[in-house]
Amino acid sequence: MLIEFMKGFTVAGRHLVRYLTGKGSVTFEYPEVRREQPPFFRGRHRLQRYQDGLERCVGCALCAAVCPSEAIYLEARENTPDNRVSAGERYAEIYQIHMLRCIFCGFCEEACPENAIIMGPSYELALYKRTDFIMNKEDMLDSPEKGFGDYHEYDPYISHVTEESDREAMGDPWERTGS
Amino acid sequence: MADQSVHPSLKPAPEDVPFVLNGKEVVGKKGETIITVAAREGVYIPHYCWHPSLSVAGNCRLCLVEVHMPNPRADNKPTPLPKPAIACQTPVVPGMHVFTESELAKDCQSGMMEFLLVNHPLDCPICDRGGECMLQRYSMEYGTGHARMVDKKRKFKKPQADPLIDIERNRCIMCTRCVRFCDEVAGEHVMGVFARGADNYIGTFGQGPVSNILSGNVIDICPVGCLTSRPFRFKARVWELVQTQSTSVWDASGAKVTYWTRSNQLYRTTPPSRKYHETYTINEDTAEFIDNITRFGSDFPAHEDRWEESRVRIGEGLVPAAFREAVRQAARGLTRVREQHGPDALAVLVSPRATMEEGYLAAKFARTVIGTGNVDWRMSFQTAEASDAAALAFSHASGDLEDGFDAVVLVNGDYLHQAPVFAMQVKEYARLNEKPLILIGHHHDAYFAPHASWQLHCRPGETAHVLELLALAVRGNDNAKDQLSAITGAQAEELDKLLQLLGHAHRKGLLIQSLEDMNGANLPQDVPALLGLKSALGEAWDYIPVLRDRNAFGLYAAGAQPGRLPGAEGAVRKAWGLGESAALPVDSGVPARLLAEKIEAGEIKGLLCLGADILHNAPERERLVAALDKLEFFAVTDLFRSEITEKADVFFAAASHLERDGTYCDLEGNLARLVEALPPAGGSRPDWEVLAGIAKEMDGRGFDYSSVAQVFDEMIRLVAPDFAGSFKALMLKGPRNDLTIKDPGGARTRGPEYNPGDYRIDGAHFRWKADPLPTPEKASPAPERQELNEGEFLVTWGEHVQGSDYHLDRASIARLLKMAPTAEMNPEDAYRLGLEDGDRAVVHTGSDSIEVVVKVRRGPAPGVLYIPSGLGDARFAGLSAAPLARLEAVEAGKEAAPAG
Repeated sequence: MLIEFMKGFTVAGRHLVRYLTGKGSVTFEYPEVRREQPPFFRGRHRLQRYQDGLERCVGCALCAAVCPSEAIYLEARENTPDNRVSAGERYAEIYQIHMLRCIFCGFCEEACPENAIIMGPSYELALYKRTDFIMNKEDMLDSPEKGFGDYHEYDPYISHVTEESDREAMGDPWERTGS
Repeated sequence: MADQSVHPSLKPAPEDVPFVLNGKEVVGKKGETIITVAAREGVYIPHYCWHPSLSVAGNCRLCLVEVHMPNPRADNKPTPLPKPAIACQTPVVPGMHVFTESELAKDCQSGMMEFLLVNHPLDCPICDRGGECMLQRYSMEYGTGHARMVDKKRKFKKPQADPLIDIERNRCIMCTRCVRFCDEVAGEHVMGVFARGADNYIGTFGQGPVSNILSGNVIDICPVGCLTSRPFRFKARVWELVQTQSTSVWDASGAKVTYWTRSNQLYRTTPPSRKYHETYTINEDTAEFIDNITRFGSDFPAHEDRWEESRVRIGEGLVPAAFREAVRQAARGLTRVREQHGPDALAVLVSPRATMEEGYLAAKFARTVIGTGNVDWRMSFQTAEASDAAALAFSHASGDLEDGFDAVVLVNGDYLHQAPVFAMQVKEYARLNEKPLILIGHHHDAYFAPHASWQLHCRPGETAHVLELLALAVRGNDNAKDQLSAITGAQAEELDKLLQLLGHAHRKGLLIQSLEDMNGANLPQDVPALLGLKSALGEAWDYIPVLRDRNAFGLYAAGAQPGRLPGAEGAVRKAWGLGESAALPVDSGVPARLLAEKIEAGEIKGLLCLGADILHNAPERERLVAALDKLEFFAVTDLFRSEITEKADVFFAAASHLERDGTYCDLEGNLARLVEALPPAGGSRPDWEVLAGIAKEMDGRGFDYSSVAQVFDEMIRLVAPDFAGSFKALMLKGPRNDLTIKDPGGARTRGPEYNPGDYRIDGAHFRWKADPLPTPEKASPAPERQELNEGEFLVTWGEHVQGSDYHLDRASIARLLKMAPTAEMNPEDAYRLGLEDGDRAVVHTGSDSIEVVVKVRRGPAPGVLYIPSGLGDARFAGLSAAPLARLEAVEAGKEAAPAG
């Protein structure tokens, strides 16, 4: 039994040393320090823009159709020469996601033919009022000041999970199976 | 026995052709194509350009099938044809073997799909057709799933030709369905294919609009998203909408429609949707076309003028009140007038857009609770005598288009604009089956004229005389034939052929007469004259009167007019709980047409009006509105705030046609169910609830209804005693019922599944045979002909369905489509005056003058000018029949001359 106690305290002691030396700590000082999310993390939705500032969303409502919890509501309008919002002929005049209904399954970004909706890394979604959980287009749309360099293309097999990142996360599959 | 030289319809029936389809022995008729027989046998062959109602174009090549023909050189063994054949164009041949699902056929289908997608932009996320597109569907079912096209796709500029139809040429696959529809069904050559080869595109001539009243159907039959609806543009995706199978509120033909709704709003109206893979989708191969008024004019309840709560008058103003309070006030007002002035000082008006149940309750309410016969719907007629003639016409009505016909006679009328779908069905049946169309009168519908086998023209006022002469000639009176020839200008041998044909069409004939005010004061003569012709022709001829009012026949049957009970008097007394001695006023009653007169004379003191549109659309609108001030009590149910509802003492917010259940009857006597597609807006109630409420408040017995189905069941037992069935059992037959079903495919539908024939209660049930009128031995004397000087015309007019209407003015079609007044004239007159189609002219009638666009058609008789009333400033309501008019051409670029 003494040996088991020793083993246990060894683990605790190892972590104490790591913490005191500042090398390899596993916890974060959360509000000040934030953990970086993996690229395929499905957090708060983002509506992306083109380089020239036009919205990518054309209001096709495929996201609303595929949504299993019916959290998305949108109404489309036609672009006019005076009011050009998106690159196509139509744009989403109203785009709402009910975040209390959303189950973060990611079907919306998968269904989007324009790569307009994408689930970003943000996971801080607590609010005080229930009505605030209905996110409007303005809440999700990338602001023009933000720049459009960080355009995020949805492709679960190529861009998000590259071979390197896959190996980093999971280890070499060939090594693990030992063949 | 007449032969084929009289008319091509008198040819022998085609012979049977046995052949093999996918290994199964089937039988087609000689001259039929493979795809027609396959469709009948339940074998689906993919197609874009082929449409069952249109001619064969053979340009999409998607219906390629493998055909083996009996080879005479190899002992008649089936041998493969060297190339696959298109099923839509290849006629069936005895002994042929057709394979629609062989390797070769599948290879052809996927290859053709790849070709058709070469220039298609694949902008499905933007396209309104997405979700119900044939191109999407066939790509999934027959396509390869990839494209080898790497070059740039063809691009066109977008034209803005039509206010109702959006053209996006990039998506077009050149099936030419729309071109053929306009040419063949809509009867107007406005669309065409332009340019050559890879550059060809669909367009309208001169970039003009597709002005036809049936043009909206090209949206449905377009297999891709090239032609889409403008009012519906980008409003919603089709899979989000709930479909309700209901019926048109506009078309007296009884067109069945699907209302597509979402969140208490109507988004679009289409012909009935069809089942496809466990879901309901739009029917591209539909033959049940609807008119533009139904398609783009059914959304009027959403107008901003809508009043959604009941109101009662307190002092000068109308203040919102609870429904019960409004009912109490109305009952009190009606009781007061009845006690002071007697029951006959009260009148009940029923809108022609009311359902049969509402008409029945109005009749019951007026006769039992108030005790008067003053209940009527017949406001749209020029004179009270004309409305009586309509009652005579209805009592002789019989026949149904579904049974087909061997010959059809149409008397005076702008049928296409009065009952568009009915007119289309008549023309299409005659055109496709090569049946003879015979037009008689001073104005023939230009829609029928190009297909007419005989046209007998006369002057306004002579129609009855011509019909009497024809009836005499049918009975073998040669003198009458000569007179007919003289008055109509028809050649003697043509008349001989016509008489031979009329005598021969013993299998089934159809006499169709318009009861519209075009004939004005002539209706009382014209109706008996045509009924005389009917009795001369014999039992095999049916008679269908045509009226623009949606539920005219249903209200007539439900007894909502003077002189008519919903059934036999004994049965009615029993059902209404009246003893033998109790008063039941039937024949007494003021026709609606005389209402203004009676109010002015002080004979009518109180009015209950169900649907203010009957007052708004009345020929003497101004006089009526002024007379309403003299009423002691006026209660009205309506949708909108208007100058008439402002005069009401009690206003009931009515539920619109989208918000209530009920039954409509079309002009052939078929029932169609109006299904509640949306919940009633605000505090609005259907009219039957208003009536039942007032009746109960006035201590009327037998008004304890809890649903419209109870009213229907009580009514139908009187109207059609042989009719076995109930509202629920019959109207909700089939897989679709009142519950909203979410199908696996996502489409939500409700409403009855319509099977043709299910709801017919005519014949033995509904129509009681009136004694045929005897044919007079002598024709009435011919009216004297007026000499017309150069440029002078006799004006005849009809209420244009696309024209001004109280409800239609609040629909999207009125907002988008502005139509200029037109005047139709005979080519003879146009040639003499040097006018061409599309020229401008000014018509002077008495003190009025109006600028019109000239249409040169074979419709009006020489010397007759036809002006549809309601378009632009053209208002002819209240004028006497056929006034003399002077026509002056306006030279291009010049302003019209001032009135004078």
